Amino acid sequence: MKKVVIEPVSRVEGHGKVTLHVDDDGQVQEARLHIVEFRGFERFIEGRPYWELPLVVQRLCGICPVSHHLAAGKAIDQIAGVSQLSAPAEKLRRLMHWGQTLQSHALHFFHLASPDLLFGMQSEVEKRNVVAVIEAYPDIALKGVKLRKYGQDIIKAISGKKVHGIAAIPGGMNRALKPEEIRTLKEPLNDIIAWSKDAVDIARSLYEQNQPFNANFASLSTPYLSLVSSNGDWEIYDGNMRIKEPNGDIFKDQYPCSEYFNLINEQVKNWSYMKFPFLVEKGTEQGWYRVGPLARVNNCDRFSTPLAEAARQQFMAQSSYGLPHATLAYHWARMIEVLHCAEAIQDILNDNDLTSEDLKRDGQRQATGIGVIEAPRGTLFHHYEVNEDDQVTMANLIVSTTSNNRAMNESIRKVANDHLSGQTLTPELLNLVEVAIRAYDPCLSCATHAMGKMPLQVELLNQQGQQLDKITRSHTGEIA
Amino acid sequence: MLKGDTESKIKLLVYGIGNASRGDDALGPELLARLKQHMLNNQQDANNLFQITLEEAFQLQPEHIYDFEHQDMILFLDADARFSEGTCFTKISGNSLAMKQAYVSHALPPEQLLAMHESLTDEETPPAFALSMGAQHMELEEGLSEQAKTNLAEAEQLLLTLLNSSLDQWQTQATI
Repeated sequence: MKKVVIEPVSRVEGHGKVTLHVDDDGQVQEARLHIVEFRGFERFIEGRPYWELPLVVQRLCGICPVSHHLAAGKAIDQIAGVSQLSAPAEKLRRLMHWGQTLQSHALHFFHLASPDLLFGMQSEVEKRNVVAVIEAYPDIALKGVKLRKYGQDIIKAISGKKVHGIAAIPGGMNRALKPEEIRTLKEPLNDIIAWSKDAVDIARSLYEQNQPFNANFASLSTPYLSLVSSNGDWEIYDGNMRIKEPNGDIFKDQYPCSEYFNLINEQVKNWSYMKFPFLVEKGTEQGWYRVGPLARVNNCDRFSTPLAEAARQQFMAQSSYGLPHATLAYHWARMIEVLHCAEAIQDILNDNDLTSEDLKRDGQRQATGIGVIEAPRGTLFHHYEVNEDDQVTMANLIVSTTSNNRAMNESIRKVANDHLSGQTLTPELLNLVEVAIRAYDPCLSCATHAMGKMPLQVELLNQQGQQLDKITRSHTGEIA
Repeated sequence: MLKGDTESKIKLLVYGIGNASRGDDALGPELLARLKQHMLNNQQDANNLFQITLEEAFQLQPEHIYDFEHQDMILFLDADARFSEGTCFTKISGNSLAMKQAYVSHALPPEQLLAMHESLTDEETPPAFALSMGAQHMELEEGLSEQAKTNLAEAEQLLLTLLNSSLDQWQTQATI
C-alpha cells in the first residue's frame, strides 16, 4: 500500500497532518488525520476540587469555552445532588448556550467556510480567504462579525467577563441579568434575526447552485447521534440521546445521558492521540457515527421556533429517501441553527425569570456527575468521579471533534479517491481535503493560539510505508 | 477592563493574549496581570502619558475590532513560539498580505485584526505595536518554563519603560 501525506490543514483549528495510504492500483485504502493536540485533558482535571471545574475547563478550548463550562456545570450539579435547577437558572444557561452556538457558527461560516462557498473550490487559491470575502462581499463579512459579536455580548452579560467568566456554579447560576442588560441585548435583535435568515439563504443557495457536486463531495452515509428534547425537538442544553440510522430509522431514542458509557466506547489507534468512539452494539467498524449540526437537524422532529422550523423542512426536502448525508450540508444545517438560536434568544429575553434571584438549589452530595450537552461542533460528554475530599479522581471527556474522528478520515478518503490523480499531490487536492475537514468545523488545538503553531501537511504513502509525495501549507499559507 | 484616570492622556488599549493553562502561552495574560498590578500600586504617578484600557483574550477574533473604538494606540502582549529567548517589540499594521497569510485558524493574528478593522469600519485604525515574548512549551499544563519567566521579566521592564515614553520613542524602539 502507498501513502500520501497532506500537511497542514489550513482554516482548521490547530495543526494537523493527513496521510493517504494507497494500494498498487492507486486506490486510497485509508486516510488518517493525525491530530496532536488532544492529550492531557483528563490529567489536567484530575486532582482538582470539583467545584473548580466549570472555571478551569474553559481553558481546554479557546473556541468553545462556554460549552465546556456548561457541560462541567451540569456534571457538578449532579455531584452537588441537584437534579433539577430552578427555572431562572436553567433559562440563563440556555440563553448563554444559544449565544455561544450563534457566535461559534457565525465565526466558522463567515470567516472560515465562506471563501470556499462564495468563490468555489476550484477558484484560485489566492482568492479563497477572508480578505477576498471582505473585498468582494463586505456586507456579508460585516454581518458575520456582528453576529459573532452579539453572541459574545450575551456570554459577557451572563458571565460578567469576555473570558474566564463565572456563570454556572454547583446547583445553579452565579447571577441574574439586570433589566438594563436585557434591554441592551434586545436592541439589535431584529437585525440579528434578519441577518441569520440571510445566512440560511446564502448557505442554502450556495449549496443548491452546485447541488450534484456538493451532494456527493465527501458525502458519507452514517448514523447520527445528538440530543433531542423529550418531545423530539431540537435540543442543545439538555434532553436525552437519539441515534438515527442512515435511512432515517431510529436506532435509539431518549437514551439517558447518564448511561452513555453503555452506548459508546472508544477505540485507541496507535497512530493517533485522538480516540475513535463507536456504538457498542454495532462494533468498531460499523458503529462510527457523526455529530454536530447535520446530526442535530437530521435527528430532531422539529425546531420550536417558526423560521428555523420552516428552514428545517426545506433542508429535509432535499432528500427524497433517508436523510441528507452531504458533508457540505453541515454548513446549511449550521446556519439553520444560528437562525433558531436568534429566535430563541428573542423569545427568552422577554421572560421575567432572567432577572429572578432564585438561582441556586442544594442537594445531597454525590460521587459521580455526567454532563452532556450539544457543543456547536456536536455532542460533548463530561464525566467525573470525586472522592470524599471533593477531589476529582476520574475524568472522562469525549469532545465532539473526537466523535467525528472516523467520519473526517472517511470523508478525506472519499475526496482523495474522487480527486487524486496518479501519485502526485496538488494544491487543488490539498484544498479539497481541507474543505472536507473544515465542513465538520473541527477544533484541533483547544486553546493554544501563539504564532508559529498553526500549520498542516498531506503525505502519500505506498503499501510499504514509503513516501511517494508530500505537500505542506505553512501557517503563512505558503505551499511547499 | 481597567482604565486609567484622565481623559486628556493618550488612550492606549493593551491586549494580553493567551491561555493561562497552556504553559508559556500564559505569557500575554501574565504580563497583563503585572501591568494591572503596577497600575493599582502606582495610582498617583504612573501612566502620566497614557490612559490605559486592559483587555484579555484567549485568541483574537473578528469582533475585537470593536474594542478599537476611541483608542489612540494599541499594544498586543503575546507569546511567540518562533523564538525561545528574549522579547521582540515591533510596530505592526494591517495589510492585505497579512490577511491573506493568516487564514489558518479560528484565531486571528493582530495584523489580520487590524486589516479587518481598516476594511470593515469607517474609523481610522490606531497605530499598533506588538510586544512578543519567546515561548517554548504550550502543552496543557500550568506554569511558565524557566526561560519564559526570564522573558517575562525582560518584557515587563520594557513595557514599563514604554509607558513612560512618547509615541515617537515607541516608534524608535520598535523594529518593523
